Amino acid sequence: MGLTARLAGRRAAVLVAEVPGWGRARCAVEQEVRRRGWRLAASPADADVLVVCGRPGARLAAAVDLVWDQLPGPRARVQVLDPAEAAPALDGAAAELSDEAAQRNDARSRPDEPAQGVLATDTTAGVEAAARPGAGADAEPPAWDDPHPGPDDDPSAHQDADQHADGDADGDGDGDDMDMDMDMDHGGMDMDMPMPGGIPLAGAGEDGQLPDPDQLDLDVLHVPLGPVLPHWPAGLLLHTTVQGELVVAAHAEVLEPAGAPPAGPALHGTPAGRWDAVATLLALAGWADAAAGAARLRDAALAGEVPADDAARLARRIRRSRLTRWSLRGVGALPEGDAADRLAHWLSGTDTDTDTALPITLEQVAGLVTGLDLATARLVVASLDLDTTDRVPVPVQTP
Amino acid sequence: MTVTQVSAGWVPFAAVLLLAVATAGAALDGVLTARATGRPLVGGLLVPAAETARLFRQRRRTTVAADQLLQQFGSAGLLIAALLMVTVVPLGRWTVADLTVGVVWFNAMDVLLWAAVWLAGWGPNSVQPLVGGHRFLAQALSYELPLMFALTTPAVAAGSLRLGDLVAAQSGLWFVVWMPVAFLVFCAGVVAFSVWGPFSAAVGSGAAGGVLAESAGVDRWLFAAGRYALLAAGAAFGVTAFLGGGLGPVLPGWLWVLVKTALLLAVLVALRRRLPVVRPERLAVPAWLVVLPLVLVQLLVVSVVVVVRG
Amino acid sequence: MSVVTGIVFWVLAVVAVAAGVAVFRVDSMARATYALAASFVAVGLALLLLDLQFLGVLTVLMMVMEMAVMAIYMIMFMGMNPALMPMSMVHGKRPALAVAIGTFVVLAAGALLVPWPSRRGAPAGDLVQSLGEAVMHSKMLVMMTVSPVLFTTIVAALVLALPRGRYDRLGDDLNGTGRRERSRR
Repeated sequence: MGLTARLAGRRAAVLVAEVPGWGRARCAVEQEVRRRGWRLAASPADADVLVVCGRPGARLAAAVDLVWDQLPGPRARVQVLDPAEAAPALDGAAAELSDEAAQRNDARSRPDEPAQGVLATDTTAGVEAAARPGAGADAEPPAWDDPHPGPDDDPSAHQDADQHADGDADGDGDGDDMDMDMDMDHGGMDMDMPMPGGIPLAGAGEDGQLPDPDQLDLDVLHVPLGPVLPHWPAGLLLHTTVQGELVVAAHAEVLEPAGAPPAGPALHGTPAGRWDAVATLLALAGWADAAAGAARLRDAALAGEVPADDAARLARRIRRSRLTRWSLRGVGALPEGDAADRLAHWLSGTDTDTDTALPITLEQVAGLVTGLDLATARLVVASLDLDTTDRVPVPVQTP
Repeated sequence: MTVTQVSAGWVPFAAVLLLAVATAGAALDGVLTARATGRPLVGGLLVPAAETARLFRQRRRTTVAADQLLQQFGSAGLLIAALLMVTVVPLGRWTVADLTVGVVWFNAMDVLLWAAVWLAGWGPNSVQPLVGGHRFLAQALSYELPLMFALTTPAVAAGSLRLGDLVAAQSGLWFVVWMPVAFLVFCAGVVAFSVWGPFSAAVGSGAAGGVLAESAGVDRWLFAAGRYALLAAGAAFGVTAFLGGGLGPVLPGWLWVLVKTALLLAVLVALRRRLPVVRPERLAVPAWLVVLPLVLVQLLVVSVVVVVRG
Repeated sequence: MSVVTGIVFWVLAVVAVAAGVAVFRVDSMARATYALAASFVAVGLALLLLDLQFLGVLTVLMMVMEMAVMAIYMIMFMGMNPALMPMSMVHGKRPALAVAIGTFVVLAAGALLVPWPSRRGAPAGDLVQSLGEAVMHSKMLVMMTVSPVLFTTIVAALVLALPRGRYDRLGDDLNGTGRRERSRR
């Protein structure tokens, strides 16, 4: 194994795809990643290893496959079903990464040009749903109710891309955004429109959306957030319609796992779950030290023993941070409080075993996110500490 | 001490020195990360080498209908701007380019970053990088004016835009002592144009990696190395303009510059782990209504002192 | 004028004109904007050859910043995306070409054919300072006080025109709900 491979093996970046119900497995993987000196990837382009925690259902599995396509080489993919499997799985991944012959074969089997994927539009808009590789980690799988599987559909969605297939040719966030409608079989398409890269330009928004507060009348873009996204509730798929950077309409659903989650206590509601929520929110807010400290306390809680001094000290430090409070103030305001209040509430309750889940439905989540920009929307979702394990998937609204 | 301009043959050495200081900054960041995650600190020192190996092994990627030319300009632009910035900073008695307008040159190079980061976000033809690039410009509108006035302050005190004159004017008292506001704003400006720490919204995890969401391989390495190089170049300039440059007892001038730069760079690198990210829209009001008047008042005070003194 | 200066001048001149032409030939708004930026930067660097270092570097600074902001506005109003699509920057090709060539010819003729006076005496020690004094004469103090006053006026006008931003008017979700009593976020 060459020096480069050995050095590179010290710093693999891991993208974790969590299936609802396998939260403990995900925490075990994150702990193992930290133990090796690796780090968590921010997007598929950043990742070397894709870890699938759990058994995903059909749509979620297709999403994970799309994300797998987007990893540049060298790459490795493992599945972890049990917290105890995390260490051996990552060992296997490390071995796979340093196996240069296998990686070269993998690279050779992928095409050179970025392949056009099949794209998704907002299902609530009544347009035929097609799969969309998505931007970065936002992968949405093909909709299985597509009645016109033309030559541009499913097969292209799974074309491996060497130079990567992000079929999401999005325009400028402030100008014409691309409405991803790849169904070329439909006669509604105006073939005189300029279609760079085979993707048509975006159009104006529909009536059911929030009017642009700045009166700019920008074109709309459909951006699905999730289900494979770091610091994001497992399996949550948030269809957003953005104008510029602001979300003007949103619709949330949870993608199901295949079969029942593993037996054993759920993560949510336990002290470990609360430290997990704290770590996620602080990681999104950008405070790296506190997020790492909270993650270590979460691992200690999962192991059964939380060092009370450390916990108290970290809680005090987070509460005292005025910059964090200022940054989170007013974000995701509910009658019960905003994100800063929720963070304080989690910190005060981390030693008891009460369930702090807010009685919030997915429609309320979508409503809360509307009108915010994408980054704030992610902060809001993280601050809600959603438990996706028991959520019934929201049925697709028929127009 | 008078500053002399060295021949052009020393330019590669200056580039290597900048990269070495940038690597030291990256190693420090690795050590701090290792300490926060409870790992042995020695592993953190290897982070620059390990990350370079990983990224050079990684295949580059592109997206459909991406504007690769502009993306590559953007990715490489950070490192180029840092190298151009550091050409005017004197290392003790020597400098690569003894411009009579060194301060303005530094300012012009940090404005190049407006173009570079935005182009790196525009090129990939994807939502998150585009959002990241625009967020950088929104943040740049907030920090650029305070930074410009903070750069003007030592120039007013020294009566010259030449960096050698700035160092010479500090032979009695370092500028940081009587213009602390300008120094703090300058440091904040350096952190901001390096897309680092509290001002890293453009590459933050809130935007799935922002500008870096779609780049892999060498492009990513160029951008990441560029950030550390910018921190190093900014720290070197700050040392020259506010902390006395090569002035100091016992040690030779160039060694003092390196020591002071390393210390300032360490402080700037450590900011990432201590402070949460400030969202650009939140930054606008404090930047324009609090920081900018403060810097102007500082400039006024310094100007009055200069007029009264001579 | 030494040989090196001559070569540098011609290189910068060719780059400036070629980049200017490229503005109308490239296939994307962002490329057009940055081709224009390259043209301006070449002109700014040419000012360095006149020993006007401050003006040259400042021109580069201002032009890059302006082009970065202009790129956003162009894309917002013209609605292009990063993909390269054939596009036209002009409304009428022939009139535009005629006006452009005509203007270039007139200006170039002026630059080359006007009998410029020959230099009397030696150039001043600090060219920028002497240039400033020649332009502004006794009004220098007025000019220097006008600029901070202008700046203060702009900022004050912003503060007065938007005493409470949209978040305060419409609430944090910009929905018209969730309004808060505080006037500042």
